[in-house]
Amino acid sequence: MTPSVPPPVLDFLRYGDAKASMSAGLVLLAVLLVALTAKALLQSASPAPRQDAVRLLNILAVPLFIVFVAIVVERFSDLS
Amino acid sequence: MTFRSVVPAPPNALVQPAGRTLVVGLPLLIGYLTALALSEGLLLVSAPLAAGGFGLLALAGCVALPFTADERSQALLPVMTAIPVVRLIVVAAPTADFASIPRLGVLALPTLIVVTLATRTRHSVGQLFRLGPSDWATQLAVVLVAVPLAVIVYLLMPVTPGGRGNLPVIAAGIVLALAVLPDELLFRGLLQPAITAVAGQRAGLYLSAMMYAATFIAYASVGALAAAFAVGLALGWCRQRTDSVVGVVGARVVLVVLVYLAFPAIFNG
Repeated sequence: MTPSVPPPVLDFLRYGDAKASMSAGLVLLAVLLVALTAKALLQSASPAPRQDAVRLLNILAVPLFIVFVAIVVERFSDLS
Repeated sequence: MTFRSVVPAPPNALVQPAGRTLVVGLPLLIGYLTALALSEGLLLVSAPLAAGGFGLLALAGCVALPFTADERSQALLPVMTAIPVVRLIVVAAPTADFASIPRLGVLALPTLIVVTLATRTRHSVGQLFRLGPSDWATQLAVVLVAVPLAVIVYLLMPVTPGGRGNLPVIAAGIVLALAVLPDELLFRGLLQPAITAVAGQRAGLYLSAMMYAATFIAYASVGALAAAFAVGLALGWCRQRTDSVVGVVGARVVLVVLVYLAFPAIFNG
């Protein structure tokens, strides 16, 4: 048993209101933007930024960016 | 004539910076568990709202880091951030059209990246896989714990057929093994020792099992919650006793292969 998305939620993401299902992706994009902005500010604020804070922001930024790219590719493949 | 103080100024390293007062303790952990459970519950109402909850929880972990006052809290925060990030990925990743087992395989890659990054904030990934004081025979015994656990899980949370889609059985088994690895490393490998360091052995075991079970709230099934809590407790206890994740990762692989592939084939024909 592995925690995933249960069938009712999957049905919603599959067949639900297109705007609402897209909102989950928009939330991901918003969190990604906040994380990237915070990282950029942290790195520009001082010559030696706190490495633990930068690493913590990477936990958000790196995987969310990969998923964001996957969402974009999927949308383009849907259009084509 | 001027006088100078002969008392040397304290070195900077020993001075606690102003504002660093946050110590992660039991109340904060219970608050985090509640917030995680609420976000999971929101999945039943609205997936975007739940995604927002996971996002806020992850960002809260980042905001809290500069205010932490001790080493143990700083070790726990990356893990507390990683869990909502993984859940946000599960909700937002475009995997709705996959069958359940291939979907777990696709989600395993970003989850593994999250776990690797969370691990590297404190130590190397290789350190996670050390055997600890126990020997291989003990680890093998831990793997065998999966058999009775799988029976309990299958009775409480029967798996719907057709989960592996078009995947052959062996490929589905490999995908399942890869899918549970980051999950197990996150909850038993990173979360449990970090919580135990903050809250103690017993509270650490129960809290990490409850956090693992909380990720099953959206199934809206008491059986699923009870099964997840039982798995969290049993594997968490084994992890504490052996001080290694090797055995519990093996146990998890055996458990999912039995629950998703072997038992449905045996009992449903």
